[in-house]
Amino acid sequence: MSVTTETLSHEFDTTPFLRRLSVLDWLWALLVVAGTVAAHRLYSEWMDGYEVGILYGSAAALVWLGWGWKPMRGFSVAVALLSLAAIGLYGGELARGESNFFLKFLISSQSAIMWMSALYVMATVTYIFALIAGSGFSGKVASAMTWSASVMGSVGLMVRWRESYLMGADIGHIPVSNLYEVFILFAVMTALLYLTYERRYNNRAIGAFVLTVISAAVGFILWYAFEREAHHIQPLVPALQSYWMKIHVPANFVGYGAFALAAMLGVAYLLMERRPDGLLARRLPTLEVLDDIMYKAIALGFAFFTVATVLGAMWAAEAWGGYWSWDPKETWALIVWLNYAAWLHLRLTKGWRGKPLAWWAIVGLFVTLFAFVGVNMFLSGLHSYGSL
Amino acid sequence: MAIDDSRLTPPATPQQGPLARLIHLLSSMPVAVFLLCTVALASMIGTILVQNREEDFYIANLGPTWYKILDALDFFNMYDSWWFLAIMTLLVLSVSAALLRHGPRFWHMSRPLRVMRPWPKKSDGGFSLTSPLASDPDATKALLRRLGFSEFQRGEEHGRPLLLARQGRFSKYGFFLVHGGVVLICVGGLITSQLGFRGVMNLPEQESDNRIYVSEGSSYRTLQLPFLVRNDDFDISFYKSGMPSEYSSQLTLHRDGQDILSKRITVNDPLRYQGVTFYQASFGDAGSAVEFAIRDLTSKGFPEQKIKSEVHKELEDGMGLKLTIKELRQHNVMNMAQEEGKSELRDVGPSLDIHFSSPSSGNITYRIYMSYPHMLAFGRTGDREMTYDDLGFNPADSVKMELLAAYLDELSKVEGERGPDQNRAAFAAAMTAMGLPLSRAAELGPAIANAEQVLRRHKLPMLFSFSGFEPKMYTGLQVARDPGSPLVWSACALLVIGLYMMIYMHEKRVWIRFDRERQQLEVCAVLSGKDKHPVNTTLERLRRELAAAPPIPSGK
Repeated sequence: MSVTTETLSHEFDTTPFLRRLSVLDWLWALLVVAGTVAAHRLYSEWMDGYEVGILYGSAAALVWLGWGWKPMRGFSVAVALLSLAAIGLYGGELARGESNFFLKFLISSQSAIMWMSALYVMATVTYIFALIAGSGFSGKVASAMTWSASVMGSVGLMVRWRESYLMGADIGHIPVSNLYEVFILFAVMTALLYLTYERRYNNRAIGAFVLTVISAAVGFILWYAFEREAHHIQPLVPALQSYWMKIHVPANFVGYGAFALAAMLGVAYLLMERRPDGLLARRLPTLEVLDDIMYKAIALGFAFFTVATVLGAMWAAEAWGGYWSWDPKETWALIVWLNYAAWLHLRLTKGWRGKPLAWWAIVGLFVTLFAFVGVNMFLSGLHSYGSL
Repeated sequence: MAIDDSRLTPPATPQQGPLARLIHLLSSMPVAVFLLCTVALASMIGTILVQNREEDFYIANLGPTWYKILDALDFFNMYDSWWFLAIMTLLVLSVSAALLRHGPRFWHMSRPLRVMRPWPKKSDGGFSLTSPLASDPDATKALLRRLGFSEFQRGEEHGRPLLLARQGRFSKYGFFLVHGGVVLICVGGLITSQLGFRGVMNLPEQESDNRIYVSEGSSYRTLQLPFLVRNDDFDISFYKSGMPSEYSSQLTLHRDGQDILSKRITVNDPLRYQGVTFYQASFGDAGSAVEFAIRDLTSKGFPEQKIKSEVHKELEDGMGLKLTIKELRQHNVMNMAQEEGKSELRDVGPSLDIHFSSPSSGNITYRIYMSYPHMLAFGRTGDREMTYDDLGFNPADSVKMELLAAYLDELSKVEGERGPDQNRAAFAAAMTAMGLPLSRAAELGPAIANAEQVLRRHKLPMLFSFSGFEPKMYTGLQVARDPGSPLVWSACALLVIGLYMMIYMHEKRVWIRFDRERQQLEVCAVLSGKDKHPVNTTLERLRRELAAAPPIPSGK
């Protein structure tokens, strides 16, 4: 088994959780709380009670994430510093995005997103090279690129949030309101999910597969920006002006990201299973481990997708007067949910493993993809603001 | 000691009688997965085949034969059709059957650990190792407690101590919460659809009503509320781009002349009263008062007629000519930038769309701008875009319009070739006929000449000028009563909690045999459920902890 027990050692640490925390962990918590309180004091006039709740809830989640997954701390600090730098450089004037060197070429939202796109594609190529050449160093470079790309993507979204307010106080909104913005969220979310598994199983060969799907998303982002000019910030239609958007959309994209990850593990599984002595078999974890990560990703995705769908239903009840209207987007969410429910039944109750479930996870990605993009492209309905 | 593990995992209910057999069949995994996939596939149909449209739409798209077949099978309102409800019911029955079939066993398994169980015949893994803990079951128990085991039983086997520890006693509750949650959500949905309603109410400003229109397929039925709803005020604001940024209505509920409740509702902030909720859904024109003037270009002298009417009204002259007042827009935001790709938005003010139709001139839609009366904007049937032109002056300008009429009249008298000389002569004749001094020719001449060109280009039967309006909006309310929703939300909470328990909680049992003489510990573990992966982690952790345990102080 290429997964050594050493890499899993943190799982066997039996010291109580809170006593395991170092000074650094407490400093981290303090930093997040201080940042949150500062944000609350600065922007409280723009927030309603629910949004304040969401703010502190996300702070708690971030502290907990940073404790459980240490690299999250450095990542968040990098995102925060770069975003604050961009906000400082803008200083209340949108036009500086064109005149200031750092904004124009580095950290205005559109530049950051372009950096993210370039870095993800480079990371994909490097992961593939590392996989073929068996180069540990290249693998590390690829990881660093993936981290940097995720930082830039997150900075891009943060700064875009600010830019929307600079365009006009009534235009300002969280950048998860259209297909362009959520695709960036999708790329970052999938990458971060992958990075947790990379660290946990100390294996970078999976990266070649997962980053491929992220590169495909990047391709879409670029096409959408250059062909359709979708990168312009648009004001929100009244139906979307709600705190629900801040929780419904991100929860959905943890789900979509996890499903995409699971599907790529399925691809890795099937390729490796064909040639038990091939290159992949030497580099990837064992089939059992791949199968287990695939299960973990789908279980996590399913949990988040369920929460997201319930939140969506609650929002629909609040805005449209009914929690379920058989709107195409709702119906496809149900289809995705039923599909993975079937997957989980087959695995947990029927005891299926491996090949059929790997295929099913790949088909699942296409079902998910249709729910996520296809519905907006081909079908009409209440989610039409996400249309191409 | 007899080896018996039956208290923790009793055999599945034996099949007896048709009901038990039916439950067994419905809850079987192939049936469950088949139903999950069938519901998924069936729901797809309704997203591809547009639902609840009018008959003509389907006949035009599908042809009459397919229309008849699909309509007979309720495909155009499929989510309410008997067959879709039947599949859903089967799925709910299957989930319920699973609860009945596995419930007793899982319930049994979730009972506290009260008696010692013997070493299992079949385990999911184990190991043995030398450890000073072999002579100290109490210390081992403390260690296991630290690892998250909460229930313990001590026993003996051939004179040697035996320890059984268990964690995750409640993990099987996840099964009840998830499956019970799904059933309850569907029950809640059924309650909503049977006892609730969802309809629309379009309420003009300052008016009261209690009638709600509930859609049933492609028709409607009316419901009456026991109180009245009044729209005190409707308000709408716009982004710079002209897109609505927010709209809201001040609603007052009243009965027998007494106000009950008043609230301003916006799109994400409804009004609730006695289980009925009023949502801000849309808005529209409830017949705004408009004033405009018509110039009839087909009659001699281009006579003007002033009209006061309302949006959505139709005006007829009894000879086939019909005017329909289509739409009043208070804001028209246009991109005035000359360069392509740039944006320079400007609101050009109110406009009115009037649809004209007559046997001789066909159908024309005019858009008349209040602030730009000289602009002509119109589209004929089949035009993809509107045609814009500039008349040069307001059609309400009587002097110029009558002069133009006289000029055209004079021109029509010209025989043979028409040149600049003839034009000038016709214009002079028109001036004279109108009693205008020739000194104004330089001022009026170019304007009239241009207007004549414009009219000749477009051959319009009428010109309009828009002079005033008094907006009257209606607020579009979605009115719903949803008695099932509290159940649905509670069930959703159960579902989410249960899902977490099913995925991340496992029932694990560990047996430890203590061999004092050889300082040996023998460990084995059993994990309930088909996914045995978590047991490896537990065993590995346990092995490390036991191996790392310090030697027992000699005093003990």
